[in-house]
Amino acid sequence: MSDFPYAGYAGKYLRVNLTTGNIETLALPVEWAENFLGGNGIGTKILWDEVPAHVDALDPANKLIVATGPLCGGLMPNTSRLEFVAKSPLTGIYGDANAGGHFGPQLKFAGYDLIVFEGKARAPVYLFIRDARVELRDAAHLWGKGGYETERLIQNENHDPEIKTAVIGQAGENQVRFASIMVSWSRHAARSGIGAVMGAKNLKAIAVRGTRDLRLADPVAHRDLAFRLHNEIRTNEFFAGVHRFGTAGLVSLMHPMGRFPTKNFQYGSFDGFEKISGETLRAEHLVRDLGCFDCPVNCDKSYTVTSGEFAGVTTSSVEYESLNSLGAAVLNRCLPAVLKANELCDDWGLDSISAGRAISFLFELREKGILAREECDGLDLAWGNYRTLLELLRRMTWREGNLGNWLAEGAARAAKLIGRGAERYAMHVKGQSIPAQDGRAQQSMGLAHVTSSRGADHLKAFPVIDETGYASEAVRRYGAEYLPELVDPLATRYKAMLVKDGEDFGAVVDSCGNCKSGGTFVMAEVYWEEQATAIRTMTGMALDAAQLRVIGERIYNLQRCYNALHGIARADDVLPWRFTQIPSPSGNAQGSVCRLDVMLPEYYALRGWDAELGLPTRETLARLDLAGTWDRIRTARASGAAQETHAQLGWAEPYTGPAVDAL
Amino acid sequence: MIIRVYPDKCTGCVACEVFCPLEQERVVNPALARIQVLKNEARNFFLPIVCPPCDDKACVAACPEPGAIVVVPETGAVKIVEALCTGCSKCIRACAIGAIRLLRQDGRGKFGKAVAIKCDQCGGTPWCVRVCAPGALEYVAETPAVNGQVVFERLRGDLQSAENIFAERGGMARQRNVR
Repeated sequence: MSDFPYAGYAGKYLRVNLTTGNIETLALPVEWAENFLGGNGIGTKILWDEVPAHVDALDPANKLIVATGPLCGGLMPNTSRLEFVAKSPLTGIYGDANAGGHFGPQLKFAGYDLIVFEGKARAPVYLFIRDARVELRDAAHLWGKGGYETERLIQNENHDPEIKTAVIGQAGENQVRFASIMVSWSRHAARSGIGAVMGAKNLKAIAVRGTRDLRLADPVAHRDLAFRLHNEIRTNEFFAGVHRFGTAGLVSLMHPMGRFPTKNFQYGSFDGFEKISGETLRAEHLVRDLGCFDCPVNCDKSYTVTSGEFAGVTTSSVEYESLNSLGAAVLNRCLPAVLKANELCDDWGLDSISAGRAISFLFELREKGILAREECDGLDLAWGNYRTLLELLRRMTWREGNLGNWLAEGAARAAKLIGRGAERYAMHVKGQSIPAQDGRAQQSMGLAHVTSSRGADHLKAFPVIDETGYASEAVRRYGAEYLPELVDPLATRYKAMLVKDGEDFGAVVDSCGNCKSGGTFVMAEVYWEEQATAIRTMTGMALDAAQLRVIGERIYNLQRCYNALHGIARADDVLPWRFTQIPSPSGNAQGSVCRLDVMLPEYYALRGWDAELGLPTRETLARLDLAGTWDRIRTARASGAAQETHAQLGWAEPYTGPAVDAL
Repeated sequence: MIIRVYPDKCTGCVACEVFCPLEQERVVNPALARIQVLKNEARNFFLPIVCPPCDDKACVAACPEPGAIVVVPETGAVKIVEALCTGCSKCIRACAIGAIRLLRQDGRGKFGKAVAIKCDQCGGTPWCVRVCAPGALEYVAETPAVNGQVVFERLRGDLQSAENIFAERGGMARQRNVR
């Protein structure tokens, strides 16, 4: 048994030095748990303390933190989430990725809250954990294999189908900068290219089986709360839709809003949207519903194609994002081809968002004449050509040819390599491709893309309240005085508040191990009070909602501080020209541009950040018990080290100059 | 009363395994759950295994200790009386669907070494059924058409046809020992 003072935690963590092969089982520092909870928070703390700004993301000195949180593995609705934190090879700054499935809880039941990987193995290895038994094993026979095959082989050779794995495919091995990690069968920790960090460390997989007990501080109170929340989610007005279609159901909802990015963000609506909608997907391809650990929603589904060119495809977790990036973004209306592309992304280990965005970027370069025909490695880069799409997925995974090598760097880095004005068509923030939202159609999302600590992303702030006009929840969370603007996607008022609150709450959720779709943002039955009560009854930690808010702020500010060491500041908080200068041509958003100029100053003020620099002030950091961090940032900026690191981040700055096209 | 299983509706979320052990063990640990969901995600296969209970009750017949396995009059559930269980495993071997497993742990059972664990229907409100959102589990009164024996035979048949699904992964997932 562990001496850790809190229940709900395993109380131990692993430090695995891949260079020496040394594995240590260490006591989890109590102050990590009290100040940063777990998952995202502790991962950020370790990155801040142990990975200096000058370290390259693919260097052995980068560290990979694989972390669960205090609620992971417990009774709360969907406590499956597992956090991966490392410096990102895609953005060069703070990076993280998160996945559901069943691995996280299994790690906890094995007796470990988290794993820190350091160094680089001489030859491919995988980490095997079965309760107290922890060992590095040769992975030569797994190297070169896809994710599905790797998991199957690991389960087979250990004679246990209950083993859960986190594995990279060939994209991670080849250090594609947006490589993902497949977590227990087809769920992916995909953003920020953390899979490439595993590849650079020669770490093919982590396999875990756990059978130890997880104690609860107050089992009856915790079960009562968790069961009530399970039931509230099951009776929520959005439950039926989210359960039946998963995130794919959003396609039909976002198209009329003009928030369904099409043709590399030239449009916000897709005239072929019904062909790739969640409704079509379920009607034509469903095999069965799937669920992550302890989740009442079961939004995941397995799909298959039974006839035609793509007969035999079987894939799952076909999300809204993938339907967009592998569909509308490249004008691909062929749903079976989207499913095939999704299957390949899963198996090879590619972030389907960044992969699809890189390809749509390339298509637009061809359209605009920046790429000549003879530069296209014999491929027809025409919008809607899904055979080209599939071939490019393969070439980027193996870094084959001109195009393969460009694509494997991601759109923003490729733009810098290509030059010739290519940066105008790389739709990204801080090196991370913008996912399937449009700040012109939903103002809060535009702000969220810009302030996200891992570069353009929707899931940091996850402002869904104004996406669907979720008035009842807006009133419950913030009060009636903020309506109607708060739930109007085109209004800018109160959106800075919504984004800041979402980032802080999201940081806590990602640090605890529950899910942003299963009850905290979508079907939002869990908010600060419920989350605090859940942590308290599970762990025994004396923690109220107000203290939890401070922890959320602390985590998010520390991520900004880490980025500040890399020279990130206000100048990087920008959207590409298309979002701020070209009025949306689509749907409800017609005529709208994203008003960052209005929202961003408000956001900095709410955060207690310097308006000129866009960085936390000394007072803000002192209030969050992060006093020492300010001095480190000041020194890094004063010495020029931060600016020097920034110059080497490797991506082309988003183009914010005068508009270059009508669209 | 019986627990009826609809494997086609199971999503593998294992909420049943998460809530189950709390009732008898006061901890969270799916490995200790009295219901076990066998899975092979590659084949889209999920099969929750739990004691319905059946009519034959081979476990009761096999038990050499008087009173160590009893039928609870109120619910009809088959329950192991831990203070009398020696951990001899005869009931475990007698159960054709593997609904009983052995937990080796100090301080457990009559001799303080091990105890057989199985579903006792939580005294009449089984947690597995309460938290099963997709409706793969149902707690119903027995009728001539839907009785424990029918559910049991169905599970036994599903297990047999699953043998080949698990063959490549080192044999059947069903494990008679908890750890």
